Amino acid sequence: MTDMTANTSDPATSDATSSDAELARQQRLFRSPAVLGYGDVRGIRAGETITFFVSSEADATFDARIVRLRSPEIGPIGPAFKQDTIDTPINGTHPGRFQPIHIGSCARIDGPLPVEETVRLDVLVFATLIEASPRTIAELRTDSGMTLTLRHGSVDGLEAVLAKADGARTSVSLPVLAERTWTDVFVAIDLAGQTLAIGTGVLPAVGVLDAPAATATVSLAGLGDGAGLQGASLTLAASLSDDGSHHESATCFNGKLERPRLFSDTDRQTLVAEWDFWQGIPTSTITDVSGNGLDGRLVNMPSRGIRGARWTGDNLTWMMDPAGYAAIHFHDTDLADAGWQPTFAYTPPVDTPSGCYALRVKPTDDSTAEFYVPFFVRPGAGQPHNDIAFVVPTTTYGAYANMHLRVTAQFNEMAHGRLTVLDSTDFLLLRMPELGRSTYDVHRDGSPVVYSSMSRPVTNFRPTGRMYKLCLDLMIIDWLDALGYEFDCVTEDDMDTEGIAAVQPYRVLITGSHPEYTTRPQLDAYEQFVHDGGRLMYLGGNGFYSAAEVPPGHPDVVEVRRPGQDNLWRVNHAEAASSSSGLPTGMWRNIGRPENALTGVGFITQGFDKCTFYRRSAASYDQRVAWIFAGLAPDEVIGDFGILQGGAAGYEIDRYEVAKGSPQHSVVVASSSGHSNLYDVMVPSILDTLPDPNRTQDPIRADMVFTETGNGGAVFAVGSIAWSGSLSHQGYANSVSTVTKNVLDRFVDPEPIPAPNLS
Amino acid sequence: MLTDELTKQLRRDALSWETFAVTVCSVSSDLDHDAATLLGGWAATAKGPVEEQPVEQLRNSGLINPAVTGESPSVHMVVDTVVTGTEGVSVPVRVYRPAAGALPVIVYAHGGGWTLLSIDSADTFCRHLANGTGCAVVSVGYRLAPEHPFPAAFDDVWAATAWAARGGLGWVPQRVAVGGDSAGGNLAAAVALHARDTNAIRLDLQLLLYPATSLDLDTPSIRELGDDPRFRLSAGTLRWFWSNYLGGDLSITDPRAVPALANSFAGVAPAIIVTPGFDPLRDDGGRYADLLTAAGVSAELLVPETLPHGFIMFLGAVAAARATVDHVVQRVKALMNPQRPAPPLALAEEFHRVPFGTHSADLQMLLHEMRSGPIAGKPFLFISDTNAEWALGRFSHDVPPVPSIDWSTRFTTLEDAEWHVFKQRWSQMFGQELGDD
Repeated sequence: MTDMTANTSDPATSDATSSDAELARQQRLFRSPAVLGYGDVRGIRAGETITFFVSSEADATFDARIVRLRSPEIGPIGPAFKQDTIDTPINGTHPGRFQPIHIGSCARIDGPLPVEETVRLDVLVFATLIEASPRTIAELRTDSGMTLTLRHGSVDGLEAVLAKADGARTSVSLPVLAERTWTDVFVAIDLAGQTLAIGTGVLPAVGVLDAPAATATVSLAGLGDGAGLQGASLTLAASLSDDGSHHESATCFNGKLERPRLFSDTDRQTLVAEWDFWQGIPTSTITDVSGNGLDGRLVNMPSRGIRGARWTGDNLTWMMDPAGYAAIHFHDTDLADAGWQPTFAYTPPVDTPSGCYALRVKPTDDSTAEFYVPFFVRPGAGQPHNDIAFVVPTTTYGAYANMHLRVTAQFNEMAHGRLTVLDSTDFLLLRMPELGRSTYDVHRDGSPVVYSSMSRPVTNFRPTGRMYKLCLDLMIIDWLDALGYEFDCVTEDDMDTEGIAAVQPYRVLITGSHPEYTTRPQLDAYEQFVHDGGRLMYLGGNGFYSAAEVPPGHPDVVEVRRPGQDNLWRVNHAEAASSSSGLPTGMWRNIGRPENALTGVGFITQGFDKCTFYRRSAASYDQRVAWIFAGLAPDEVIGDFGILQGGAAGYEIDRYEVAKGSPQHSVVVASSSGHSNLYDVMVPSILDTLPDPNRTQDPIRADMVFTETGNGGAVFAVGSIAWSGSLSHQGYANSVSTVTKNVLDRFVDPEPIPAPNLS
Repeated sequence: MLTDELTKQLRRDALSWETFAVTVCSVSSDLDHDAATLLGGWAATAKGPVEEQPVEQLRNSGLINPAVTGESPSVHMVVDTVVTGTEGVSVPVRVYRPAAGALPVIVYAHGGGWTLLSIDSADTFCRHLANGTGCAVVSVGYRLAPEHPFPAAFDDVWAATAWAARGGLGWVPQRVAVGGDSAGGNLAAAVALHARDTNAIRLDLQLLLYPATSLDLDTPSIRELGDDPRFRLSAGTLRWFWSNYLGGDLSITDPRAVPALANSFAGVAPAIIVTPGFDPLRDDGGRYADLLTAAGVSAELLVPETLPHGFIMFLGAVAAARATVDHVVQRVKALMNPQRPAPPLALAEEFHRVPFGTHSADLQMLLHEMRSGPIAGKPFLFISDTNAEWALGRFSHDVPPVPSIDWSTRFTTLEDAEWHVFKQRWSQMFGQELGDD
């Protein structure tokens, strides 16, 4: 029993001298945003439509407006928060409506199932979290409102409950199932024979049981009189609400199910349906292989492509092993779509400038902070485009969406070397568990979250709060604005749907501060872009590091698996194949496509306590690259300032390593050194980061690297997330700004960048 | 807040009643106003002396009222289970775990004259005890008299203590305490004596809250307060409770029943003994402290002068009771989590100088330890809307954790915030207060 009472959340107000106004301010600060929303997409072309879904606590009236975001809100240490209100029909006051989120996954077969008086369900069960509150393994519901529920909990054990609409009920139970043990379970009801039976048998290590080891039968004693099973529907892994409109989160099963089979008799002679969960693993459909066409649909994306009862260890991918991966892992914390009703839509005029925009909502009475739903607008179809594109790392935003780790991970403060800084929007994750988790979190049973959706309010996709991700990317956008560059915003989602065509029109691509996750279509597009003579400015760190997949039909969802990584969220090697594609997941370097090959640098380590700066290399004075530093004093250090802990080199850093796949001919033009020893601690694998053989350099460093790519193209990499935080220093007149400007000016110049003479 | 003025540590050689009375009874305080209101109300509606009412009626009189006992704080995990006691009897216990993992443990016996009350009546206090001390608490639902006379209750508390000490909670605790209030204090003291006699359990602390340790019903405090109807603890009532427990035989001298009658107190576990000023049992507990002290046992006597017997069950109605419990909890915490010697002050100076960046190996290890604690109770910084000020926040022990903000502790630099928390943690870990230079 876990005690979860008394979740009161009033601020402690121990400061007796606070004025009433100050108290009111504190209470407002402490309250989490009461109006939340999300959009159906992250990127649109001007002239296309984005639909917003908004929920307002207690149906409170709310204010909405569309803003163009030009910088993040970071307080006095950086540029002012610039958000321009765009005149749209949405702007104004709206009646509010509370919209619930039904978190947790299940499978629904709407039926009607061809059963009349007798039905038997057999299913293999692997419970991963057994608690006092019973969780539903399967529930049959007839059109008369009668339900037959097979459920499991630590108090009542495995229990079948027959409940009629008038409240009459009977039940039969067996002891609690062993945790994490495949068990063959059946429930059978015979209304004519007036019996309700259940049975269990623990499966042998590999194989299928012939007969259950334990059974229990109860007489219905007239309860079944006059009742029939007509019009029955079936739900697996949850019970439905009384009106059948949605599943009840509190009933969601935590564990795997495999091979549910439905019979219209008690001795399994007449098969009604058999669902083979191996079929359609990339989809949200469960396939009936009985020939009766009783396919079902999955709600909220339970994990697929995971090991089942018959897994042998002879294969490591579900593509090769239909028997071994025929299970689905359900969790009461799965969430693929908040499922809200649309509130309103916005169609920016076709000539709307490309950029970062957002829906901004807040309660009309101003009782809480606002909530942002950012989105990006590309030039309208047929409209002119700019030469420069800022590529918005929407895949990485998705992987981190609603990351509980930063708020509640025990090691967070230690790993960052600082106290965790939070605001009331961060508290939403604690106050509304139904907002779901990120791929940096585990489900309640300890299994990793492998799907993360943007179709829900996302607390860490906003221009406010921690200086990371979108906030830092807005620092780059702000710098481009401030220096007068014309540029478009293209999202990685656009690259997923259009491939190279999404970026082909541009001469220069500028990345975000932390484009960590990359799908195959994106990586293909980047590689082809630079191969074709395009120029890439990688203004971040820990980029192009991990493979992500997008499940078919779910462009709003990112699938991330971390095989072989030494962290909480790793998957077993046997579950390293993406359920979306069957393709390998994990770090690109482990799939033979190291980030070094694209950018010249590869992730080395991280630390969030203190940032440092770069010094030029001897090679940087060669005329091949010396232009990068034009305007700086010959020995000027680069980036010994910035809003991120005082330097341009830090947070997450990359270095040049030929052995890891960096091009031989790249030039390391500058490197950082003197990172704190927290960066030593955070090195993922010490063997991965042996110092250079000649030991001339600090192994813990960010390398700034320039690489010609042929066909007139080139790549410039800074290998540091913190770079973005130094651009605005001293009114944008600083060494980081100068270097970035020198590179961008050269890159936007159509004059081919010559391949080096490497004789 | 309790001050040192209110906390009396008495270590005396002389044991005469008269000396004792002079030392302790010279209290001039009045009964706490909240307590007077509460007890006065009860006295006005009392149906006569306790001993004249049927036991069943007393047990059903619904003593657990949240307005009196106070809000019940959440604990990381609370589990009801049973322990196998003497002759196979099932002893219900409620285990409160303030955090995951191995913890020190306190076995707790509720009060009620061996006749009344239950695990539930001690629930709120046990939650405070668990959260405040960081110890697991095992609250024992021992068998009640008169149906089950001595040694039933003793055996049950003993069984629960042995169970917890040998790892029944899933871990073998490094430190084990036994505690209780009133009759539960008697049981705790008895268990402590028996642990010494049998050498079966190594106890680190006995927490005796207004215990009944002796059959002497003619102490100054009983003479002074026993007939006050507000306290409902006359000599007659006490005799009735004892008689229930001892099966009517008040001549029993077994120290497992009457701890004050032990031949020796040498070698029993150190004690914290709390004797409220307005408690007929005040002098009983006070004398027991003297007996321990005389035998060379560390006994810390706390005398909340304005409070009555039973105050740990009045945490909602009596503010001073809550303050006293907080203080007791802090003392228990200190004794159950002995502090390590502080590292060289140079480490603190280094951190003060350079809160962020490269640290010496020793400082880095210390920081990792400070920063890697569980999220329950962990501090964080709450950023204000100006993005230039931070207030100190803290997570509760709930799952999921509930944040709270201390608006009176605010910082204008992150360096100041780090230093503040560092000093707090240093103090908690090493019992040493750091200055700012």
